[in-house]
Amino acid sequence: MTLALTGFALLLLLAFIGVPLAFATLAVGFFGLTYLRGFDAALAVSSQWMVDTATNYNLTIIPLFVLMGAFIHRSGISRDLFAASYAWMGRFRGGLALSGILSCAGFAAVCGSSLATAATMTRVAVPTMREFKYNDGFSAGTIAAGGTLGIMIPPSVPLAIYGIVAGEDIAQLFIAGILPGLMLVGLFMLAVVIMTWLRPGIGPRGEAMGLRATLRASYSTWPVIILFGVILGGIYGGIFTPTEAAGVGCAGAFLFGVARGHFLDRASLWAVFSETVTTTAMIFAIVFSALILAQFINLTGMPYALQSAVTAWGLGPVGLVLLICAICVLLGMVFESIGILLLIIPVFLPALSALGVDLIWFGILVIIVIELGLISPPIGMNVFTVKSVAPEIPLTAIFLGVMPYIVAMVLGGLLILMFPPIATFLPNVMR
Amino acid sequence: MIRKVTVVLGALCLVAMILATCAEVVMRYFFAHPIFGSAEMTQLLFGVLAFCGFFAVGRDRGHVNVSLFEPFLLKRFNRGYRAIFDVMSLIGSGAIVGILGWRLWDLTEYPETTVVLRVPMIWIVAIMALLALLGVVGVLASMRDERRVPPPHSPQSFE
Repeated sequence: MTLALTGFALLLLLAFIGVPLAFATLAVGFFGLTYLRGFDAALAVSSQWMVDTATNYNLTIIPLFVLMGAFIHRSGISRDLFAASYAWMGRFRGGLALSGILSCAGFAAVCGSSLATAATMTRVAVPTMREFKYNDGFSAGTIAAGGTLGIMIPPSVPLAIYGIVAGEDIAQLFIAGILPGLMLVGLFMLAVVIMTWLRPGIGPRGEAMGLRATLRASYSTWPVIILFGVILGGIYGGIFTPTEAAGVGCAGAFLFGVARGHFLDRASLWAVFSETVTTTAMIFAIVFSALILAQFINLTGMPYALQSAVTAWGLGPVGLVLLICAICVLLGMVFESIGILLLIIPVFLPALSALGVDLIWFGILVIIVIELGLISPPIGMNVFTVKSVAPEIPLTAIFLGVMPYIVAMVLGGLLILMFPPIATFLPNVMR
Repeated sequence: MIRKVTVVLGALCLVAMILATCAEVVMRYFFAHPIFGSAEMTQLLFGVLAFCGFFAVGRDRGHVNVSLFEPFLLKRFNRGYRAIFDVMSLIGSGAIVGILGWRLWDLTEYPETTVVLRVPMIWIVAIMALLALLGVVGVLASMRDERRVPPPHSPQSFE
């Protein structure tokens, strides 16, 4: 246990002084294995894991969903989603913020990336909100929080990675993410209603649109509904595996973009593929490094020592889950989502399994906690993303603007903790 | 040039993966005739794709880093902080080449093929190692570059 903790401390130190996360993880994992089993064995284990990870069928889902997100991101759907949401919600107090949340949810349903959702929707929603005299921090905070829906509403790359690490069915995890994702959308909208009820000045009403105009605006969102329906319906109905759903989703997103006049030139295709290829390399470098580190951690016996310690402390399943969530919140302030999943899950997996924790439910809970890290100070990647797209809004104002949503998210996490069927109902029906 | 070649190779892998998965679904449901080894084909394509971006990521200083103290470190220890990022990227990329090289050497001694399609693994690992080596070239090229832009995936520079 001491050796593993020393390894984690070294990893944090290396990461803090600027060593790229993948290489810090690889160094600790490789030298840890060398210390325990010798150089030759470390080399053999690392090389075997690297090649096995690179040819793991389950992992093929990652580049395909990244590519689908890139197609959607560049197909101009964000404006249509916002216009449709505004047509329905604009007439209410805080209507633009409500529209922002709904369009973020719609975009997340076919994109799968929190940062892409936040960056895209900031460009679309924040200028309109400013035009209608919305409070700057409130507007930017709403989109930063709305962006976090990208990793909860399926398809979600972090959920897929959790499934691979925890050995859970990715299809069931995607299905499990639907209700909690919708619940979070509802809680975020409730936060907007409460905020604008307490301080009406921060989110005035917009103009009301007639039924015909509303329906016309909604009509343009059909590709998103179809794509989401085909992917999730296909997985839920057992027609596709998640990898096949990702492949079909990519083809659909591309054809949808072409139908709207995108991706017909080399430059836009280059941008999409270049983004996907580099993102895949970045994610993959972290994934195989973390899996090598996990081998080292397993050899130190830490997961089993933790399992014994948890039993000795009498923590119980809920206590252990809360402990892991607390660690994830702390790490979420420093690391990005995939890094946290890969570092934390293998360590606690034996203890969680021994205590009979439902790993689908736990996965959803961990994703909410990681979402929290995306908007919590001091890092809050989504907040910085919004700031970089809307540089005129002060960072402090955005952090203040996300506070109500942090409360909503904590509430959502507690609800899932207390009522596990929110996450497990749909997967259980699917079984 | 290297970027162009590696990204195009990655794009081809992606397109082939999409075609293989879509064709598998169509053949299975409409013709009751699944494609032999399509899952393995997808796996092998992914193996190559995973390393295609290494040059671009190395060249753009794109590896994910923890940026909690980045503003402070950039202000106080600008050169040292950047040197750590660059040198460790170089060592890390080199280590990946070394690890894959070892596997390659191992495969020359004990050849393996894939289970279904019987593709010799040595060719796949050789391509992976070559692409990883290009990652080292990318890091070296970024170290020679005078423009000292922040790593593109730190929150401060995300666009």
